[in-house]
Amino acid sequence: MDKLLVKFALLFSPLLKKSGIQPEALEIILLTKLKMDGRRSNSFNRGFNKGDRSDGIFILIAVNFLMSAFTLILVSKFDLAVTGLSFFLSIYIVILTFTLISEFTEVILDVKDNFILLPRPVNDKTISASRILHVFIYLFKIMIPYSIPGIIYVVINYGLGATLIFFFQMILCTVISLLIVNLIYLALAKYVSSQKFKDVLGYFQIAFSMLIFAGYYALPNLFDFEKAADLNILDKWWALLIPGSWAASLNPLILDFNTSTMCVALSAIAFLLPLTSVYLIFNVFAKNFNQRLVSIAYGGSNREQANKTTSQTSKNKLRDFWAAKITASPEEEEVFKLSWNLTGRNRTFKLRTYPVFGMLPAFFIYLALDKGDTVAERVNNFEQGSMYVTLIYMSIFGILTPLINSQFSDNPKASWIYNLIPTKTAGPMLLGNLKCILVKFGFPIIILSTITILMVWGVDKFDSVLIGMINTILFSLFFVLWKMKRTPFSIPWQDQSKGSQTTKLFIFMFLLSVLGLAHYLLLKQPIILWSIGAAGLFLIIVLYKYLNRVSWNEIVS
Amino acid sequence: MNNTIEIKNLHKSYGLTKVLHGIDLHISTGQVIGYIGPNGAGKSTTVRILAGLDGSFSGDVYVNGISIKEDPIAVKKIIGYIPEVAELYEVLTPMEFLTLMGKLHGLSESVTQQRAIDMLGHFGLTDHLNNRMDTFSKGMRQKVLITSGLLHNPQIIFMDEPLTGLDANAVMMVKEIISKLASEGKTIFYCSHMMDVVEKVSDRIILINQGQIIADGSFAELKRQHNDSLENVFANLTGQEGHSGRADSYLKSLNQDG
Repeated sequence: MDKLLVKFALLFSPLLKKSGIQPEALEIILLTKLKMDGRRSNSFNRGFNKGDRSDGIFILIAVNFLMSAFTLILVSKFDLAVTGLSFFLSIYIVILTFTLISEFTEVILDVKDNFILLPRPVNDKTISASRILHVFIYLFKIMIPYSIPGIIYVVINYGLGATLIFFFQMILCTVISLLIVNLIYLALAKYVSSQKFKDVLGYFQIAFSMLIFAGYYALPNLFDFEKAADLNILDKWWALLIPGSWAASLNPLILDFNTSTMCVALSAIAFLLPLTSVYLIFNVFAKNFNQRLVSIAYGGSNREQANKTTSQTSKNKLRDFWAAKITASPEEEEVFKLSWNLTGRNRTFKLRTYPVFGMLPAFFIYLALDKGDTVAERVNNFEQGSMYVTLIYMSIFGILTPLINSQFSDNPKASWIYNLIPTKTAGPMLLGNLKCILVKFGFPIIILSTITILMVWGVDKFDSVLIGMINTILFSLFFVLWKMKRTPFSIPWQDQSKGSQTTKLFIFMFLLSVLGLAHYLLLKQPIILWSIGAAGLFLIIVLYKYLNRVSWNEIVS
Repeated sequence: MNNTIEIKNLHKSYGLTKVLHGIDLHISTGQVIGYIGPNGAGKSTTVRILAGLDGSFSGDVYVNGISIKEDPIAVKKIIGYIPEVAELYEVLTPMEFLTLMGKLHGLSESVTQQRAIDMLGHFGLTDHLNNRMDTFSKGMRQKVLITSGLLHNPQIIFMDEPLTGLDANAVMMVKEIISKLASEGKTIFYCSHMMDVVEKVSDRIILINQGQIIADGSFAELKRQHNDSLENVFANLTGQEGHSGRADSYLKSLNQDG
């Protein structure tokens, strides 16, 4: 498919030549870049990476197809085409914008191009053109799978005329996304240096996965789609702010001859904006793009360096405070500090860990607000119910995720230092790391969920919180003993999905839900509940001692 | 002899930091230049400007009589550049990568591939031609990188630490390649801080420090002027003398108790 698309672009060779682009160079650059796309890993195929050929792209297509179909389920609840389409197209813009920024920026701003392509006799125009075409081909691969369910839906529900308009609307929204992405790049290039730039991209990736998750899990339960069925977006002033409604307004304008001020205004934006943005993208943004890249890569990091050191010293106080309070030996204390620093500074770790903290609340809302027809009814059921038990046991995911991730690293070889720790047992190493994760990630979650529970369900639920906390800590100790007897940060990220880890994790999840269920069933039996809590406390002490005595021979490094 | 490379009053700064303070240099065809200096002296910056990677400098730079500011593409056609860090698209195989490089220089696919097979074969990479480079060692990547800079048979070659990561055999081979290229009349600009290699391969040594040329001459000339080995000349001129004393102080730190 890639070759076909490139061949198609090259049909315009004479035209390209005239504008100073070298078609032969363009062809080989594009083909190479597309080949590389297929081999890269992205958010969607992290697990089954390393496989060959174009897995990455295939998964991207599948995911977009599914997201489109899923959005349409929500769209079908609106009576009016213009409202439903506004919704559908807005989601498309959000997905496209975030996918471009989080998955594609590294490709588009590949600093390596400066070393590999720039020393070759290829002019700037060709490189810019290859970038633009590369983006278009990539867009195509998102747009088509997202459009197909949409087309089917529109044909069935709104007829052929609307379908013709729909094609145009999809292109329009694509251009709007491109403009937004370019504006973001421009702002980033202006205010942010290369290292920070990658961090910012990381935050976009985190935000994107949280957004998708929250959107699809929490939104349907927080919003009364039934009540909003007859919503006419053209009556609302805020339609002006929603990019999807600009394009959607073409439907009533063309098909119903709706010439209300609002409709005309929205359509006018829809027409003028793409024209202006195409002009801006080609004439303002594409200019000196390479030079700006070089400046991102090499320029101005001094000031930032200074900022970084200051912000890190203040954080060190918190780290040092806990390290001194909670660890039992100097060696354990150093492991604690090292884990603290590595988890805070490693971008990959943050990328794979932080999304969980967005997903947990979203997933909780999804579970909790499931009963009832209206939002008010759902909230009421929620407050009467015993969902707090779920909340308590869900927080363990907020500990497990960073704990599991603390085994992985971008440079696993550096973990040799752990093997030199001069202690009789490997206990201090395992405990130092576990305590760090518990303090850094566990405490905030436990405190947050405790506050939530006490506020929503009342202070009398404190006993459950306490017992839950005991079980959570017990489980993390148990987890380390059972499947994390290895040096921290010593497995390359690529191997994350390998091995039999998953089965063990499932067993673990099962045990956890049994415990949660038991807790729930015993809510009316405080005495038994308290005995379980006491037994848990005792087990914590036993496991802790045991963990402290784990010998170096048992450690996988 | 005509000048292949001419640099006049070259200044370059990144933001407020000045990197090059007025470099003047004339290099004749067929010379092997050893461009040396301490870390951060501006070696790589000079090479990047000469290879047309960085157009924001002041002064005049001509390669084969072509101004690099006015026609960087014409310059890029006749040069080969081997960058300092092994920057490659790692997800590609050597064959794919070299095909890209060859085609960008206007070679046909068959010529490129034949040359790639031959050249990498001599480097002992025959079995790895179609493996992705992300599994390659540093030395293997460097071999691909060197090949990518020579593939189109350029007249002028810029090398920035080309021996990084190579084993002893490969180092000897690359040194031989450099002298053979020189005897064919190619101009080579060799950038390094490994003195022994520079001493052996270069006709002329240029020493820069803090963005300025502080010594320029053949190894014999430099030796005569300073009556010392290249290493000591280097230490002398870059103001880093008394290594033995500093080594002493370094070890003395061990005797201090907080």
